[in-house]
Amino acid sequence: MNQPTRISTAQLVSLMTVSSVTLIIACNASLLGGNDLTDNLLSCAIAFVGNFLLALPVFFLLRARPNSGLLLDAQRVGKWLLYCAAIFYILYFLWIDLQYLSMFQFFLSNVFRPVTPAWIFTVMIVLAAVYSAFKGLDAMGRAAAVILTTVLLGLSLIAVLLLSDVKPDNFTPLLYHGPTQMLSGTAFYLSGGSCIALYALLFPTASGNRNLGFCIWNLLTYAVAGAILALIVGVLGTYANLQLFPFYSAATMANLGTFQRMDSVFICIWIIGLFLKLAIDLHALSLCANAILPKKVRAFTIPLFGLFICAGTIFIVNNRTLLNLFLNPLLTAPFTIAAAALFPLLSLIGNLIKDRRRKRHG
Amino acid sequence: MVRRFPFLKTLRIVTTLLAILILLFAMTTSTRVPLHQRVLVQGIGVDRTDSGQFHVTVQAVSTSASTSVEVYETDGDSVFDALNNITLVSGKTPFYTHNSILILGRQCAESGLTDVMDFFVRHHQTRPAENVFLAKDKAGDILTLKSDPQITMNNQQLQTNQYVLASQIEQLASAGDLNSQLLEVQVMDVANDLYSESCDVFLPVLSIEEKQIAVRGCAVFSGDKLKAILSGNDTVLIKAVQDQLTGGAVQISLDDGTKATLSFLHSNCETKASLRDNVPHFDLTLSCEMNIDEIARPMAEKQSIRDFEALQKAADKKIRSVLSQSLDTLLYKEKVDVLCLSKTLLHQQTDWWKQNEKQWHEILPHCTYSVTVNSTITAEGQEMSPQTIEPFSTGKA
Repeated sequence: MNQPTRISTAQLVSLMTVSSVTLIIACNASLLGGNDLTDNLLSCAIAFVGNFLLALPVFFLLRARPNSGLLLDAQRVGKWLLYCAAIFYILYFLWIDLQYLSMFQFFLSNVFRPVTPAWIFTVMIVLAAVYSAFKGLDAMGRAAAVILTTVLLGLSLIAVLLLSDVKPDNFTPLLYHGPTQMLSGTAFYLSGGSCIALYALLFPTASGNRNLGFCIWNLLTYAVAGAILALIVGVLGTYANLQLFPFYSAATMANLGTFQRMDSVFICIWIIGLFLKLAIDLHALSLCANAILPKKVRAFTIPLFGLFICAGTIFIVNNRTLLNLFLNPLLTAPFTIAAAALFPLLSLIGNLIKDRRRKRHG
Repeated sequence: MVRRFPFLKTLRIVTTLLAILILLFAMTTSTRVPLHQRVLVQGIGVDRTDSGQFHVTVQAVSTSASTSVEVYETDGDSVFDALNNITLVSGKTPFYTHNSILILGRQCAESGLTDVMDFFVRHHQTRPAENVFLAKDKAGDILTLKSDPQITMNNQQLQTNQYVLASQIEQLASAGDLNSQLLEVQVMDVANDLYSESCDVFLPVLSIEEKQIAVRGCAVFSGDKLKAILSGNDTVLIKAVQDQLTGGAVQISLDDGTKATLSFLHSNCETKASLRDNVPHFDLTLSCEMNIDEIARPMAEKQSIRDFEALQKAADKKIRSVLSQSLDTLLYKEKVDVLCLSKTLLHQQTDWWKQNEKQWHEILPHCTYSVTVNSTITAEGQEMSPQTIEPFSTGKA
C-alpha cells in the first residue's frame, strides 16, 4: 500500500470530535432509552470509560506496530483477515453514514420543513463530502480544525444563552426508575463511537502523541455530550421527552437581547459536522476498498460509496421500518463494539502469534 | 503527445456544475411563498363554540401597505383545522414562527387543555416560549379589542392601529419583574405540567376593563380542566415560590396607624419537605429585600432608625398572612399543586414519593405547612426617613 498522508494528532482529534458531536446533538428520549434523561448523564460517564476499554486493542496495536495501521496489520496476519476486516468496515461505515444522514433528513422533513425538498440537502452534503474526500486527508484535517472551532463556538453560544433558563428542579434523582435508562443511553453513546474504528484505520497517518489525542477526543466528546444533556434537561424539563430533537427545541428558546432563536446555529453546526463526518468516512471507506480492489476501480470507490449513501438515505427516510432499524442504537452498538475492538484484537493476536513464530524460527 | 485533463480539475468543474444545476432545480421547483402571501401570525386566541367546534382569532402583522394589523376569525373541528381555515378567508398561508401569545378562552379551558395544546407542541413552526394566557371570557374579545373606537380618524391606517396588539399583551407577561401579580407562563410550562400529572397548570388571566386589557389574578387547573380563577394575592405566592417576587407592592400599617408601602427588590424562597406521621409537611422560608416606596406621615416627622425593625416586622406579618391564605386556598380549598410541591417531595423525600406519587392529589389536602418570612429593608429612596444615621437627625422626631 502507498505511504499515507501525514496529519497532526490535533487534526485527527478534530476530525473525530466533529464526527461524534454530530450524533450527540441529535439525541432524544427515544434514542436514549426513556424519559429519565438525568440518568443519561451517568450513561455519558460510563461510555467515556467504555471507550477506553474498547480502544485497548487499538492502543496495544499502536504500541506494537506504530506506523502500519489496522489494514496493514490484518494483511500481515493473512489475506483472509484483510478481506474480512475491509468488508466489515465498509459495511460498518456505510451503516453509520446512512444512520447519520437519515437522522438529518428525518429532522429536515419533520421539524425544519424547508421549502426546498429535503433530499436536495442530502445530495448537496454528499457531493461536498465526496469532493472533500477526493481532496485527501490533509485538506480534511485542516478543515476539521476550523470546523471544530466553529462547532464548539456555536455550541458555547447556545449554552451561554440558555444558562439562565436552567432550573435545577428539572433534574430528577439519579436512577429513580432503576438502571435501565442508564444502560440504554450507554448503548446510544457507544453506538455512535465509530471514531474508534476511524482511529484504528487512521492512526498511522497521525504524527504526535496519538494516545494523548485519543484521550482528549474522548474527554471532549463526553464533556460536550454531558453539557448538551444537562442543558436539555435543565431548560426543557419533561418537555424534552415530547420533542424529536430536544436540543433544537432548546436552541429556539436561547435568547439574549437581539440574539434570539439560535435554531439556525444548531442547523449550521449539524450540516458542517455532517459534511466532515461523511468526508472522513468516505476516506476510510476508500482505504478499505482500495486494500482489496484492483487498481483500475480504485478511483471510483469514493463517488460510488457517495452515491450509495445518498440513494440509501433517501430510500430509508421514506420507509418507516427501515428508519426504525437504522436509528436503533441497540442494533448499532454490537457493530460498533466489533469495529472498535474485535478486528483490532484479532489483528493484534495474529501479529503476536506471527512475531513469536518468527522468533522461534530464528 | 496527448495532454490528459487533470482528474481533480475535472472533478472540481463537474462538481461545481452539478451543484449549480441542483441549486437552480431547487429554486425553480420548490414552492416558495412570497412574504405578501403569508399571514404573519403574532397572536392566537382559541375559544370553544357551543357546538363544540374551535373558534380561533388570529392577529397578524399586515403585509400590505394600508394596514398594520390584520385580524382573522375562523372555526374548525380542531385547532389546526380552524387555523388552516384562515386560508379560506385570507387566501394566504399562515406562518406561526413569530407567534408570541396564545390566549385560551374560558370555555376552552373548562372543556380541557388536552384538545388544544398538542398543536402548539407539535407544529414545526411553533415555539415552546410562546406566552400563554387565559381570557376571563372569550379569547377573541381580547384580540379584537379596539383601544378607542370612539376616536374617528381620517387615516385608515390609524383606524386599524387601534387594535390592542399581541406584542402589547406579550409585554404583560415579560413585565413579571415589575409587579408581583404578573405571571409569565409559556407553552413549555403548560406542557410540562400537563405531562407530569402531579403538578397542575396555572395561567395568568386577562380581562377587559374600560377598553383596556389587564391581568387579573390567575387561573388554576385540575388535570387539564379549569378549576378556579384566583385573586392577585395568590399570584404572589406562586411568584414567591419561583423566586420571582420583584416589583410588587406591600401595604402595611404600623401600630401607631402609620401606613407604608414597600416593594420587593429581590426574593428567595426555600421549601423544605419533611414527613410528620407519614404526611408531608412543607416549611416555606421566604427571604426578601425590600424598598420603602411611601410612608404616609407628615414630612417634618422623621422616623428613627428603630422604625426599620417595625416596618420589617409589619411587612413579615403582612406577607406571611397573604402567603398563608393563598396556601390554604390552593391546598385545602382548590386542592391543586400549582407550586409543584410534588417536585420538592421528589427531590427531598424520594422514597416516600416513589410509594405515594399516584395518590398525590388525594394526599395533598392533608399536607401541612409553615411559612416564615424574613424581610430586610435595604433601600428607602431619596428621602432620609427612617434615618439611617442617627447622629445626623434633622427635623422633628
